[in-house]
Amino acid sequence: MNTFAKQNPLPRINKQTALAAIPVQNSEVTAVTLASGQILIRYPVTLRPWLAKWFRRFKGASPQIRSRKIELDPIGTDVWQMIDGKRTVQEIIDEFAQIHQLPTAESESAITQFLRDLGKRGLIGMQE
Amino acid sequence: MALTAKQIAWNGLQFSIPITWELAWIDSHHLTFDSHGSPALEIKWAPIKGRYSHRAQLKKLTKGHKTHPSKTISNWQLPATWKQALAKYSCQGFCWQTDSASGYGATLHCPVCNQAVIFQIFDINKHLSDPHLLNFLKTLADHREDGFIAWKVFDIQALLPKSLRLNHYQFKPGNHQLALVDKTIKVRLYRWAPASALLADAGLAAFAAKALPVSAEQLNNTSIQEYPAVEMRPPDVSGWYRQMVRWGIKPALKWSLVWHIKTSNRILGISLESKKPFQPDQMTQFSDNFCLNLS
Repeated sequence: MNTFAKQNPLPRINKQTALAAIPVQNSEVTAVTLASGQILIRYPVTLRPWLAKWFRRFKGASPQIRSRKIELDPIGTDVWQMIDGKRTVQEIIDEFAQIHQLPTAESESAITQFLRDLGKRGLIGMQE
Repeated sequence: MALTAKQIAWNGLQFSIPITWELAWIDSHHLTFDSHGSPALEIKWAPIKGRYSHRAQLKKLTKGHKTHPSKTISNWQLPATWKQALAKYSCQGFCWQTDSASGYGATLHCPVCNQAVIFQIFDINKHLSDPHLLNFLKTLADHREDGFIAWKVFDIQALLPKSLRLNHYQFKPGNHQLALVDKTIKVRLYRWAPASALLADAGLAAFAAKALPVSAEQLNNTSIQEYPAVEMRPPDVSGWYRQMVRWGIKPALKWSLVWHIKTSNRILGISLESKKPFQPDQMTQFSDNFCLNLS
């Protein structure tokens, strides 16, 4: 296997296509509503292959799946609840702007950044 | 009559643009606007040192502009309506074109404030017949006669003395900040949103104490323009301050005011910092001229 082979870049999508995508919550994620009304997200984290191998060698057993927790703030909680697998990114932006009386551009910037962060952690996926 | 134009004012320059144009890039002397996701207008300005030359200014203001094919820039005869609208400036048109894009604009020189402005309109065929474009040219102003500078971007607007220079700005979602300084005072203007979420856990005083930051004990409840507010007034400078000055120590005095505009779900704030004692009505002068622009 040639590890250093040049990888093909991911296909670029335009803004309209990105806003028409539907964010979907990862089924492995568990979300608990706290007494404060905010949401606590618990998601599994898999070890990197070389670390898993090291665990197996020295601990003699397969490593347990670790999990991480994130407590969302009130704004994050609102957006997380809007990710229902039906609303598009644009619909979430519009609804968020309407609820919080924000300009659409500001709402768009906040929501897209938040969804990007959730995506990087593997908490959501995008459905076209 | 429906509102079809909006006013923009930033660091000495002010003009009107169509309401559908959105601010896409902001720098201290550089703004770009998008129309439905594609670039519509770019504008730059700078004070002139020495003699003014259109060619030199065009070269200087387009320097380092990666997307600008500077080699293909050529002179462009400005339409008569443009010349009439820009009568108060000495102006020269230019244009450039590539396979996928084109730009038509002008370099302007204001003899009153000795400032150069360069602007270009993208996709001119789409906008040339637009009456808003002529309105933009007519309303373009690079100085005011009243000794103030207007600030009007996104949803905030302020009218501040000309002596205050832009020091720092930030337009993050939910947190807008504008910091200005002159020889004697530092002024910071804040706009936070959405207030319903930011004030969900604690009151306005706790929020202000965390955001500014100041001690919550120093904040007193008050009201401004009928909105609930918290204020941290500067200490009385009669005794201890004079003594400190005598010892050669000049501590900065701070005056902060934060108010909650419930009707638009936003929080506004002003923070003043000075080495000299404040005038009794100094905060009122700033707070009266800082408000939301929800047009």
